[in-house]
Amino acid sequence: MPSMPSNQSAPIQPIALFEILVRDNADSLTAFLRASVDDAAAVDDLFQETLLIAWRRIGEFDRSRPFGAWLRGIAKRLVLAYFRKSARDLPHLSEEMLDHLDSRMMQVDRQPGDTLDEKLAALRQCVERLAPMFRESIDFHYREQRSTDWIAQHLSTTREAIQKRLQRARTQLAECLQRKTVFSAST
Amino acid sequence: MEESSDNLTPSRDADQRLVHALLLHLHEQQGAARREAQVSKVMQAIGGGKMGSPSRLRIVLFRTVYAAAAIIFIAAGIFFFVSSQTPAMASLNDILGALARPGDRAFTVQVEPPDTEDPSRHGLHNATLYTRDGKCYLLVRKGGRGVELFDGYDGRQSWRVRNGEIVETREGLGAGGMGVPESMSGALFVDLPQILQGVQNSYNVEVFDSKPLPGTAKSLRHVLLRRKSREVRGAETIEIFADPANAMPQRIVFDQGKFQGSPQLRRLTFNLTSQSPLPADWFSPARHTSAR
Repeated sequence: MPSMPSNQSAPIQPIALFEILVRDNADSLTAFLRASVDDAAAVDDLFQETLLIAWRRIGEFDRSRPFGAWLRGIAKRLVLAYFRKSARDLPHLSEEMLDHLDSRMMQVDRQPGDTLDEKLAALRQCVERLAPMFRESIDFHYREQRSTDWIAQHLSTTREAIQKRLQRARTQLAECLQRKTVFSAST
Repeated sequence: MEESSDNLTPSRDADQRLVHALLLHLHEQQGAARREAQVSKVMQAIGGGKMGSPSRLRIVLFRTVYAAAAIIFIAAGIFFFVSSQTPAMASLNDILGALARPGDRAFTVQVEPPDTEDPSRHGLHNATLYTRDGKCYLLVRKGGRGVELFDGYDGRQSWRVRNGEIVETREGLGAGGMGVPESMSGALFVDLPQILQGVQNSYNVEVFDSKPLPGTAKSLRHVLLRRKSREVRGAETIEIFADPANAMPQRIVFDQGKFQGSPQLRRLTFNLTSQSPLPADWFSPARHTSAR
C-alpha cells in the first residue's frame, strides 16, 4: 500500500490534471467547433458535452496522441450526431470536411507559442497584408463585430457584396496561411 | 458564418470556416472569461461525482519542457511506494522524497541546442525555476522580443506577469499556458504513484556508483532512466545526480526530448542553484509587477 508522509501536501489529483489539459485545449476546441457549427449556442453545448464525454472516457486516451486531437475526435462525432438531428436546411459539414478541419487545427496547434493567441501570429500578419478593401470589411465584421447589413449600409453597398468580400478575404487569408506553411498544402 | 460559401471545394470551404473561427477567436471580447466559466461548469459537474471515477486517468508522458519543471514541482505531493522496489527504484524514490521535503529551491534551466524557431521557447534557456514546499512554483524567463515573463502558482491561483504587468490569473494551475499538455514534451509528469508505475513500465531505471559532476569535487549518486522503446513519448533518457547524504537532486537532465512543433532532439538540464529561503511573497504576482 502506498503511504504518504504526514508533512506532505496532497498529491495532484487526476481531476486536476484533466482540468489542466482541458484549459490548455479549450480555445483550440472552441475554434474547431465554431468552424464546424454555425449556431453559437450549439457550439457551447457541444463544447461542454465533449468535455464530459472526455472525462468519462479518459481511460481510453491514447497518450501517444495529443490531447487536443483526442478531444476533437470526440467533438467530431458529436457534431455529426448534431447534424443528423438538426434541421435539413442548416449547413452540414461532411465527415471529410470535419477531418480536414481537424488536420488544420493540428497544424495550428504545432505553431510556436503557448496559447492559441500566440499560435495565430501568422494570421495577424496575413490580416495586416490584406488589401484595404478586404481589411476594412474584416475589421468591421470581426474586430467591431458589425453585421453584414451594417457594413453594407456604412459602405453604401449591398449585403451580398459584403458577404462576397468577406468570403474573398477569408480565402486570401487561408492562402496566406498556406504560404506561411501554417496550413500545409497536402491536406 | 453568415456569408455565402458557394462555389468552394469542400476543403476550401473548410479552410474558410476555420479562418472565420480563428478570426472570431482573435477578436472576441471576454472570450477567456467565457471559456473559463464553461470549463468551471464542466469541472463542477465532474467534481460533483456525476461523471465517474477519476482513477481512470493514466499517467501521461507529456511532450514539452514544462513537464520537467513539473516533475520537480509536483514531486512534493507524492505517494511513496515502500515495497517491491529494486535498488534503482528505491534510489529514485529517495530522490522524489527529497524533492518533497519542505523548503525553497531554485533551479537554472539550460536547453541545448537553444531553440531558435520559437522565441518564447528559446526563452526557456537560462530560465530559473523556483519551488516552495511543492505547493508553489515560479518560472522566470525571457519570452519573445526579450519580454520578461513570470509564470507562477501560489498554491491557490496560477498567474502570469509579463513586462511588469499581471496579464492573467486563474484559480488552480494553468495560467499563462503553464498548464502543460501540448506544451510538455520529452519528460515525465504527474500523479505518483502512477509516475513510478509509468517509469517502471516505460523506462529502465539504473543506479550507478557515485561520481562527481565535471568540474566539481563532491560525489553524487547517479540514477539513469532509459526509455524502453520509441513507442514511449518522452525523453530518451532522464539522468538524476543527487546528493548521497540527503538524496536531493543537484542536476536533472532530460536528454533527446522533443519540443512541441520542432523535430530537433534537445537536452533540458535543471541545476539546483540554491536552497536559501526566498521572500515570503516570492510566489505572488504582485511581487513581480513594476508597480511594486
